[in-house]
Amino acid sequence: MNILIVEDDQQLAEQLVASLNENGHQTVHVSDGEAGEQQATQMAYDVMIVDRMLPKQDGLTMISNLRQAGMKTPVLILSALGQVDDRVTGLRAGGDDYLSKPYAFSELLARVEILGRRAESQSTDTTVTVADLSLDRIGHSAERAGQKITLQPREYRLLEYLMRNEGRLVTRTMLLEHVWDLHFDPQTNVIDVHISRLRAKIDKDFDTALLQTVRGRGYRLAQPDDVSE
Amino acid sequence: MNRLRQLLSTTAVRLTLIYTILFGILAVGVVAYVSYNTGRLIISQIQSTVDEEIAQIARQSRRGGVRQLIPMIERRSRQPGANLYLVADASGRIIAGNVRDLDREILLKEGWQVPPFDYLRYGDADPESKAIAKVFILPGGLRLLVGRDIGDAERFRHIVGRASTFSLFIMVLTGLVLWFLVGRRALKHIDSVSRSSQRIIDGDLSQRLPLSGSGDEFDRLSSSLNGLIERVEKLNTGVSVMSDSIAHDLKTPLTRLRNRAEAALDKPHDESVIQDIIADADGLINTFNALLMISQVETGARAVQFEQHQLAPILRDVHELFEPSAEELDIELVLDIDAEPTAHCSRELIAQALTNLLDNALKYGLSADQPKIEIRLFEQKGAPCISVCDNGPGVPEDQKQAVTERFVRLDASRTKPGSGLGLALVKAVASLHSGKLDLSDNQPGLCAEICLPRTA
Repeated sequence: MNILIVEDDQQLAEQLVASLNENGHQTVHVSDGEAGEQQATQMAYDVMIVDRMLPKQDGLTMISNLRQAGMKTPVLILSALGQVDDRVTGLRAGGDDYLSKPYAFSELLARVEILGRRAESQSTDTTVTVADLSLDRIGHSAERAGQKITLQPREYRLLEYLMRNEGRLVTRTMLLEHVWDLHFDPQTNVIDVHISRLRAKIDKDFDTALLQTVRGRGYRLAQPDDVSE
Repeated sequence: MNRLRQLLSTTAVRLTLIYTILFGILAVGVVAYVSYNTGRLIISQIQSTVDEEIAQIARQSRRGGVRQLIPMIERRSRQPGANLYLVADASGRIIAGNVRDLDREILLKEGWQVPPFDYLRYGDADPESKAIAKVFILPGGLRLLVGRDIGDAERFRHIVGRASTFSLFIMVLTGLVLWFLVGRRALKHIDSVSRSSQRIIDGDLSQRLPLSGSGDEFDRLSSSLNGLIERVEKLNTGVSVMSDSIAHDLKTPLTRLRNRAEAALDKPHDESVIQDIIADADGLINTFNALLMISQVETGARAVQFEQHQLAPILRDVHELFEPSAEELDIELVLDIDAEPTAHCSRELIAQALTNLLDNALKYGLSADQPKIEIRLFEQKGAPCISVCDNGPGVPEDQKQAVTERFVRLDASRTKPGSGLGLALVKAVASLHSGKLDLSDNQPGLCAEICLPRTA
C-alpha cells in the first residue's frame, strides 16, 4: 500500500516508516500540515496516518480541508499522550479511525491494513466468502462446506467483521470497537471467549481451522496457507 | 515611614479618611447654614418689633404733637433693657433719647439702617456697641430713630460658631484616631495572614491561617482560604501516596519483565519467552492506560460526550459481552431489569465501569459454591441505579472505603491478576456523572451499586 505519514516527531516518523516498509508498504513522510495537504492532493494514497498536533496547520484542519476537496482516502488519526482523547471530534473532522499515542505497533499496522482494505472493497456484496466458508449478509447466516451454521446476532457481526478483513490481523480492541461499539481496552479475556465460541461453530467440525489466534496481538481469519503478512 | 505608607494604602484607612473629610465638609456647611439663619431670624424679629414701636410712636405723636413726643421718648428710654431711642432736629442735633452719639449721616435718610452701625449710649462705657435702627421723619422735620443693639445676636452667633468649631475639631480628631486604629487592625490581620501564607508558600502545607473567632470578614476570608489550603494539602498527599503506590506496584512487573528479557538473551530462539515479555509489557501498558483514564475522568479532562441514554441497552450489551465468559467459568450471570430509566451519561464510561465491576465479580465471585452474579437496573427514589452483586468472599467492612483507592487490593486477592485500579475507575466514573459508588454486603459477597442523579 501507498501510505502518507504526516507526523512532526522525527523519531516516531522514522520508526513508522521503517516498520511499514518492513511490512511491505511504500511510505512518504512529511512533517507539517501544509506539506501534508499538498502531498495528499498531488498523489493518490491508499491510507494516510495523520498526527493531530502538527506545525503550520493542525491535523484535523488538514483532514477536513482534504475532505471538502473530495478526497476519499481513509485516514488514521494519531493523538498525543496526555491530550484530551476526543475521538468524536477526530472522526467528525473526517478521520476514519483513531489511535492515541503511545500505541503498540501491531495495533497500528492492523488498523492501517484494514483501513486500506476498506477503501478497496467497500463491498455491498450480499455474500462474503473465505475458503469454503460463506456468509449471507441478508439472511445473517453462514454456511461452511454446504453445512448451515446458525449464528447469534453478535456472532454474526463478529464473523462478518473478521471475514470482511480476511487475512488481516484484527486486534481485540478493534473487535470491541466494531462489534460491540465500545471504545476501551478490554483488560479481560471476554473477547477470547466469544472467539472460541465462534470457532466452535465454524471450525470445530472441519479439517482446516480458518480462525487463527495471533499470540499477543489478536486474530486473523484466513486459509492457513493464505496468510498475507 | 514605610509603615505609614502601608497604613495609608489600606482600604479601611482610605475609607475612614474619605468619610472624615466628607463629613467635615458637610458639618461645616450645616454650621454655616444654621448660624446664618439664626442671625437672619434675630434681625427680622428686631425689625418687626421696631416697626411696630415706630408705628405706635407716630400714632401718639400725631395725636399729641411734639410736646408729648419728647417726654414719651424720655420715658421709654429709661425703661430697663430699653431699645435705642433718639429724637433729633433737621440739622441732626440730638434733642432727646438714650443715644449719646452716632454717625449723623444715619439720620439723613428715612428707613432701615440694616448694616449695623457704631453708637454710644448714655451710661454705657462700651464703645464697641453696634445696632440696627429705623429712621422716621416726623411732620415738622424732626427725626425719630428707633433701633436695637445687636450685641446679643452677635454674641449668640459667636457662641454657636465656637461650639461648632470645637465639635468639628473633636470630630476630626476622633476620625483620625479611629482611622489609625481601624487601619492598624486591618494591617495586623493582613500581616498575620501574609506571614502564614508565606510559610505555606515555603512548603509547610500543614499551616493554617489564624482565625480571631470574631466571625468578621477577615475571619470569613481566612476560613475559606483554609478550606482551599486543606484541599491542596489533600490533593498533594494524594499525589505523593499515588506516586509511592505506582512506584511500588510497577516495580514488580518491571523487574519480572527485566528478568524475562535476561532469560531471552540466554535462549534467543525461544519465542515463548519473547511472548511473555510482550504480555508483561502489555500488562504494564494497560495499568498505565487505566491510571491515565482515571485521572482524565477525575479531572474531567476527558472530553466525554454526555448524552441522554437508555441505560437498559448498555446493560444488555455488557451482559451479552460477559455471558460466554461467565458460562465458561460456570458462573450464573443474571440480568435483572426492573426499570427502563434514561440518564444523562456517557455510554462509553458507564459500559467501562460495568465491565470493571463484572470483571471483579467474575474474578472474586468464583470461589463460591454456586457462584452467581446479578446485574440489576432499578430506580431508587427516582434515581437510576445499577448494581452488580456476587456471592464471593466480599470485602470486609473496614476495607470498603480503601478498595476504591488506586492500587489498593485486599491481601487475599494479591495473587490474582489485576492492577488494583478497577474500582478506582468506577468511582471516578460515578463521580463524573455526579453519582455515587456504594459498596455493600451481599451476605455473602459484594454488592457494588452506582446511582446516578435523578433526571429532571
